Amino acid sequence: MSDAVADARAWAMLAGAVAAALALLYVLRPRRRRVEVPFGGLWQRVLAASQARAFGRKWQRVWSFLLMLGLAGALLGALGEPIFRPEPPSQPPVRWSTVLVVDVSASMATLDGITPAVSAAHLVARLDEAKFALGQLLARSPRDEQFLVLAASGHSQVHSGWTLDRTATMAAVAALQPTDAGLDLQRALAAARAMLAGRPGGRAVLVTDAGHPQRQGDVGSGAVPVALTVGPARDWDRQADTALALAKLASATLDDLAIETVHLRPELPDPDRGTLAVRVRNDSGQVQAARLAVRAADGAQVAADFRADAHLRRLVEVALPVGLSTHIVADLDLGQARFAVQVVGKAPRWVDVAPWNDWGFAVLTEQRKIRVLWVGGANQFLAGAFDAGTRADVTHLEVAAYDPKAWQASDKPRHGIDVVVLDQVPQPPPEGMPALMLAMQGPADATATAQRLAEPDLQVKAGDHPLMRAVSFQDTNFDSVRPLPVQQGDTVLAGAALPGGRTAAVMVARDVAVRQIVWGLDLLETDLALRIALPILVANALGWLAGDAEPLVPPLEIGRPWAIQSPNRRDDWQYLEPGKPARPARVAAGQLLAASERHGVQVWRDGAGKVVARPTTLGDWEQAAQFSPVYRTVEDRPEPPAALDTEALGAWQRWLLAACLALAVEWLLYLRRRTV
Amino acid sequence: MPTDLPADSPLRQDLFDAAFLGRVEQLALLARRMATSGAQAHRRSKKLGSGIEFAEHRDYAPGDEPNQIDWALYARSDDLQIREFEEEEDLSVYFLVDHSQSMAVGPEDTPTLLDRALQLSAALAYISLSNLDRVAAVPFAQGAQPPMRPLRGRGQFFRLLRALSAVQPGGKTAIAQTIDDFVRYQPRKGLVVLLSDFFDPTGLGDALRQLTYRGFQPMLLHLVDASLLEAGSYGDVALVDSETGQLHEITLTPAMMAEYRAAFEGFCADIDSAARQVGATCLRLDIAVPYDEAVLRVFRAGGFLG
Repeated sequence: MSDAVADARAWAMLAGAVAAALALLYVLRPRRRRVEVPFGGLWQRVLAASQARAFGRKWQRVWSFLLMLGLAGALLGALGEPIFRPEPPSQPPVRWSTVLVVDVSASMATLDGITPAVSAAHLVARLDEAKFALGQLLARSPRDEQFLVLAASGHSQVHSGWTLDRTATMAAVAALQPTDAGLDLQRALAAARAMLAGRPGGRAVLVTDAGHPQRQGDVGSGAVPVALTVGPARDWDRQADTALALAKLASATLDDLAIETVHLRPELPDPDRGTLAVRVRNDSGQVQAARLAVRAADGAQVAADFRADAHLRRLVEVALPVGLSTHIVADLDLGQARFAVQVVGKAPRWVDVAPWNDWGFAVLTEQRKIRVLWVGGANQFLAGAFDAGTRADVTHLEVAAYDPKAWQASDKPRHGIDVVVLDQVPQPPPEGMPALMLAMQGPADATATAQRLAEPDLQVKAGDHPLMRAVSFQDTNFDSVRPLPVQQGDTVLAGAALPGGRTAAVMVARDVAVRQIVWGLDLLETDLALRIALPILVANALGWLAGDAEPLVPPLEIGRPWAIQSPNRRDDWQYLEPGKPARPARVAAGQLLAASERHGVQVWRDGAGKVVARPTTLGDWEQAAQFSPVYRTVEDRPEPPAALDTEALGAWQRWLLAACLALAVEWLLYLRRRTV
Repeated sequence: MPTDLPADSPLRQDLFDAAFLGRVEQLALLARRMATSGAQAHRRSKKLGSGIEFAEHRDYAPGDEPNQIDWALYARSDDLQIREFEEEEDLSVYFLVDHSQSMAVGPEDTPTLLDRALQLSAALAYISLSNLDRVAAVPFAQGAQPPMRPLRGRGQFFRLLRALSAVQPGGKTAIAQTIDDFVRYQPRKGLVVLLSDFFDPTGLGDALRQLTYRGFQPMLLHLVDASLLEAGSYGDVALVDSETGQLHEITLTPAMMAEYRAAFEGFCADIDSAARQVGATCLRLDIAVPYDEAVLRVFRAGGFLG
């Protein structure tokens, strides 16, 4: 019992004793002296006259009557309070405050308990195990302990407020569901500390399959959490005398296959075919035979949406070595924009107990049109390259009609051109405009041609540059090329071998203030125009000049806040979180802001139907087989600081105090009359 | 229905001891001296009868004795007139003694109003007996008892004392009812001496008017206890009416006592007013005044011996 409550009860008992003493004195107070008078009529006249004159005396009986009524009411209230209002006294004063920090991260969905003798139907998820443990904790907790349930994963969310009601707390715990995010332990404990601020007897009980934060050293001073660890047991677990009977498992039965990332890349020049790169992690300690199921759909967002057989596109048999391995699924039909890959174990004795990390997602980028101003003479090869891609919206202009000042970047709202292509044009590109210059003659700028090389041996110098993706110059013949001087900030994409072992740059990319590409060759003097490399090169160049640094959509990490560049300035974007109804999206500074703990495809859609879709990745902080030590429940908690809690007094006790006060007033009034 | 005195009832020695008897003899002598000195008028019966002192004429009526006709007057005026004479008879003195419970209020071991009333009535009765008046004592409270047979002569004094000694306090004061009862017994006309505290809620005026209407001469001896006008202590008290038992809870304060004294003075003024209306003598006697002094005050006030 805390000092505060003890003091409150002592005060109440003292008040009760005083009240009883006063009541006794009131009952036993001296009776009036009886004086026999010969004729009471005279006194009656005197009384009548006196009361008629004196205001105070006239109302003295009324005051006394009202006072006695109040006294009687207070006593009745004191006596009747426990009967008429049984609820308030049944609420004990709060002495303990406990935040139940429940890990609802993805790993808590792992099913534990599998053995050869136990079927998958009897498996217990770690979150269910945590609920069972919390049920026992609540059943054993004192009645004066209040609880708050904090669901912790990537974000921490108060799931139920402070309450002494065990049923409500247990209902809140039972309603917890695992998310697809990882556990941000520091954020969860910081939230718990904030919730405990100013509360008596504060502590945090962390229920997680992760390690104890103190051991990890990532918790500052303040409330020290008590960890109830669930998940796979280890040798030190069995020796621990835990207060709660937790299910302990052998690690050998765990499903330790997980998909970490999925990359999807269209294969040019056919934009409808693509390649899928899947990175799989095998932590089981042995090589596992598995299948990769590739599914595609247009509107699906989560694994449940992709499960339909109609969405199955490819089933690939793979052998998964221990650790990370990357598997390529090539020549995929990219008719649908959203893809999901599931890794499925193949061994018959092996049951997937961690389905939450078996899925990966990928989304095709939006292929927006690129408006191109083509300046130059007739060039059927260049025109064919433009037509091979589906993105170029070309406007042709003769050289004589070309005026660089008319196509400056500052006039873009007027002309609407994204990229300028100058084919054998001596004039410079418009100011501030991205430009591709096929310049045998060369513009009069830093990339001007210097000399002409005959029959050069063209070599790719920057194969990892976006312009050179899927581009090969093998067996390509050139009549001549013109070497280009290279300056700071230039990237040499291709070079020609000069006699003596030297190399001259013939394809240069510049990304300083504005992107520019210069080719020191003439398409009419090479068979490159007849090869597949040309449309790929042109498509890559247009994409790079238009600002597409990465043609693949980068995945979003679950549980983290996201900021995605909005394709327009509209503010009527809707956010479609997987598995949840659409809601208005947060838009700030031209970016779509969101955070989700649902693994799948995150979708934004504006009022005009424009869609932005991004896949998610689980991140690498949640692993099904993460081993952690077991910590026992701390029973000997420190006493909360002593303070008089006036709320500890029941209403009937306050009534008793009021009656006490009324009795005292009445007693004083009586004494005053006696001592006149 | 007249009742005789109890022949063997004992005397109250606390009231009528030898000293008292000796003192009343002295008071009788003193009273006679005061009467012969002219301080007191003679009291005669107003009954017309066969006396020797002419009173008045009246018209002759058939049946009158012829020898009562004033023939001399008939000779002068040729009118038959009957001569009437005052009848000489003894004065009847009735002592109506209030023995209600209020007359017994007072501290223990001290004389009560009733004691003083009995002593006063005894002393005055002795003087009346010495004056050859007819004396009767009539105790009353809620009503008058049947009057005793009037006594005459000093030899009857002890019978009177025994009758007074038998009076015990009790009952409520109802003076109007007492007078009704008294006149219903048709006693001889005479002096009615009322000894009482007159604490009657119904008042005194009607009773006195009936007495005078019936031919009696009332005399009021108002006995008071002045000590009751001073509070022994103040504070919360429960005043109990000695006769009705009615309770009055009151907080006694000096102001309240002053108001009570004022009320008592008003009460006394009402009694005096009622007495004046019927021409009666009203004398207020404090219990603190010795009975012999009180007797002398009665004589000084006049209206008792005739």
